[in-house]
Amino acid sequence: MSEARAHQLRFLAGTPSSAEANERSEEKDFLRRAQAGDPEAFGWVVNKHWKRAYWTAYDVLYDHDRAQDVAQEAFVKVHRALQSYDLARDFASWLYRIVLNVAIDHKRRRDRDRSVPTDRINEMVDARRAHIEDEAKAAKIERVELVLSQLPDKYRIPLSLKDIEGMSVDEIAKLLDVSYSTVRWRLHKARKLFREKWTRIERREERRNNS
Amino acid sequence: MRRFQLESKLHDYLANELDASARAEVEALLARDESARALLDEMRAADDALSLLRDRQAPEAPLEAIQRQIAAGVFAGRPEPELHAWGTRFYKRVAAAAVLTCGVSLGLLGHNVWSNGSTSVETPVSDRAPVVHDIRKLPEMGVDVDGNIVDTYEFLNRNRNNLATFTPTDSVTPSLEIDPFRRR
Repeated sequence: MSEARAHQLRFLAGTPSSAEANERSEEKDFLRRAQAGDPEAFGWVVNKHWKRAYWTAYDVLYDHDRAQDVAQEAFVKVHRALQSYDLARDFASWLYRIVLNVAIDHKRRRDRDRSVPTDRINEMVDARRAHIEDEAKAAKIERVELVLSQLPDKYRIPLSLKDIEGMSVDEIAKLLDVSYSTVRWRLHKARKLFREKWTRIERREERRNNS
Repeated sequence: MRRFQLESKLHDYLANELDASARAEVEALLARDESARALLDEMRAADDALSLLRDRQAPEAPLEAIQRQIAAGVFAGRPEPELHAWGTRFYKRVAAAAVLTCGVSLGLLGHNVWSNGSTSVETPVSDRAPVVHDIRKLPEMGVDVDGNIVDTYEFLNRNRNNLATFTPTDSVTPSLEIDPFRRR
């Protein structure tokens, strides 16, 4: 049986692996302490999920400042709702749903256009470029970002979450509130769209370098 | 093998998610099919490109700012964000409209058959077009008997001959052999 199929069956049965169970148990301890008002425990929770929360927001907004604001706002909201949070529920799904929803709200407020503002991409690329010494690699990353930004949200978000952030398909399904199969399908479509655009861009780049 | 299945298999192959026999099957295909090899190369290149973003670093978590906002009660006046994953509400509305349309269509069809006094056996295949129309309201994909994710339209295209010989006792849904659209 393939790993994907095993994953699907486990998802349908709702049974986590033992490593996941241990991690959740540790997280629950911190959440329980955070519910009791321990700021250090809440800090642990923030640190654990910050990076992914930040990039999840960024993948919606393509704006570093707003991504930071969104992730921050999401954690404040989480803290506010923590007293009523049921520890039996999956915390990560709950948190990232809030992050995603806050990000979507921000995006809707910002504009209703699906395309990413070019100045934002340039800003982001410049910021990233500053940390990458290898010029060729930086240019390639720039092209990857541009291709990704051209994908529709419904395909780009699961692709980023899976192939960049490393979330599992079942995590993404819970996060987006769609079925496992829908995520698999969207990932398939997203990868295909990305691959086609990427291949075209790379061939054009190759021709330009050769001429 | 259909393009969709080929791509899924090759992706699982690249991700090392195939069992030994499926892997051997893909390797045999790659050995004899140049276009499959070319596709695999493109997939690998795209995957490598995406992997460049995997080590992206986020800024430090602004713990102090978060604690300050918590203490100041920032966002306290705002309602909790609703859980609105993309299009969920939109698709629910579309689904509701589709169910309503199907119901009305089937009602009219039934009324038409009864009022004409004809039976399903005598009804020409071409007169059963509304069934195909209903199929278009199915979700975009499903799972076949082998557990493969299948594109509904691709599946229906592949089984077009079955649709042409559609009879009321051999409907399309059983031919998909589902519980296909696993919704939570």
